[in-house]
Amino acid sequence: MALSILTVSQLNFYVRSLLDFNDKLHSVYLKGEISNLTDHQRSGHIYLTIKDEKSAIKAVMFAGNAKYLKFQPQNGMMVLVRGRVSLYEAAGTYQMYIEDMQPDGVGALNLAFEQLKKKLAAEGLFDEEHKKPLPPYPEKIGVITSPTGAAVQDICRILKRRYPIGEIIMCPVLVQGDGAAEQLTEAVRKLNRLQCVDVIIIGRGGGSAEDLWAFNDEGLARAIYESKIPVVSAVGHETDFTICDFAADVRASTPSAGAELVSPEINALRADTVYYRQRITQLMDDRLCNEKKHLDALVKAKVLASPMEYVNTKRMFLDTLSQSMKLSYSVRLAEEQKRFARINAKLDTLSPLKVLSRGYSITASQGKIIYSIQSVHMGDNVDVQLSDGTLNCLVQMSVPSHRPSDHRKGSQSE
Amino acid sequence: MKKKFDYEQSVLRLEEIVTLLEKGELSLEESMRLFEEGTKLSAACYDILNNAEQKITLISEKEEELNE
Repeated sequence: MALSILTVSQLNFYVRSLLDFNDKLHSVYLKGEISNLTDHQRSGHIYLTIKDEKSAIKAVMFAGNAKYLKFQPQNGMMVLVRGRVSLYEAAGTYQMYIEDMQPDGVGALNLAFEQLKKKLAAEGLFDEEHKKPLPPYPEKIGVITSPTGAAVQDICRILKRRYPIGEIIMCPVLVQGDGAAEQLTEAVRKLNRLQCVDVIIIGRGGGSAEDLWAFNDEGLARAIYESKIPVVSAVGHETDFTICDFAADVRASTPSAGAELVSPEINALRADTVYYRQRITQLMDDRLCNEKKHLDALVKAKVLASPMEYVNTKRMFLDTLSQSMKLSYSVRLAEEQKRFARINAKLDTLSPLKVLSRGYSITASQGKIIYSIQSVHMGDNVDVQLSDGTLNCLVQMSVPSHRPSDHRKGSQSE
Repeated sequence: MKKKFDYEQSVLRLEEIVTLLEKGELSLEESMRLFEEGTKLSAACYDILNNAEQKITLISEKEEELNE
């Protein structure tokens, strides 16, 4: 037999063919612990090693499969993987091509729950500031639950007893199994689209963690977060917590409790109504009573009781006023008279007529008083007024005096 | 969302009327008007509470009603 020499590629291809042709290696279920995890954010491929106490195998999960992962793989995590075994010729490594991966063991759901809770909390979906208050008197109440479960019975019973004035808008959905999460999500979105309710109760009765799983759906959490209508989550028993509970505006421990949370007690409402009625009646009575007292007081007032007395008082006041007015008027009149006499006497002493009687005269030409000899010419006619009459004189000569001011003073009237 | 008689609005208004009457700052005429309004509102509320009969509607019926 001739010695055959192979190239590396030929060898790797041959070994790969051996693995690929083995049916048992086409679909292998493998349990182990994750190590050397490399999560390529850009490509989405996940490279890892799966190991147990003694051995290890390289593995890869391509993006096409990795995007369906319901949890975030981490080093040290126990997983159950399904895939085929083959050889990567370029490196000569024998490895597992993972198609599906689940966290191993009973904690699997728990882990997925915790991871989703952490992620949504980080995004702010559970923030208290975002929680909406419940309407005090909802007119229409949307109920999203199974039409056949105990929850719907409980909710309707409580609402009927406590708050029959509210209308229940029933959204029957699957609450577990395939499609349940989608139906729950769509029901929340539909009630928001239609805007036909004031508050929403979403829930179901108790069950195993798997039964309640639809309420841990990310899409449902987002629909609740985006809901414009307040949402009350009423899932399972008191100890059951779901993502839905965290995303809702209010968490109720049970469906019955949820119904109680959205509904005021009708007897309390009746009592309120009676109270308001009594209160406004009492307030109105008090007011009317006060108004009447006020009116009584007004009527009894002196003015209204004996109107003539008021008039008389006013009349007396008027008389007094009139008297004092008269008095002050006559006093004032006398004063004015005295003052007038004084002024008159003073005027009299200053009168030019008085001056004329002492021998002075006033010379005028054409009605204008002459102050200077410059103002007249030879042959002018001037009027000389004396105390007892006027002389019409012809100017024959003018002789300037040494002190013309004397002349001026003599003929000036002040 | 159309409402024929809004219970919540009515109760809020009743509370407001009580507060206004308590303050007593309004004229007598205005007080009388409010009192009358309050009396009518409380009667209407009481009427609703006493004649309530729970109505249950399926969302599918509601949708048809709204689509009409």
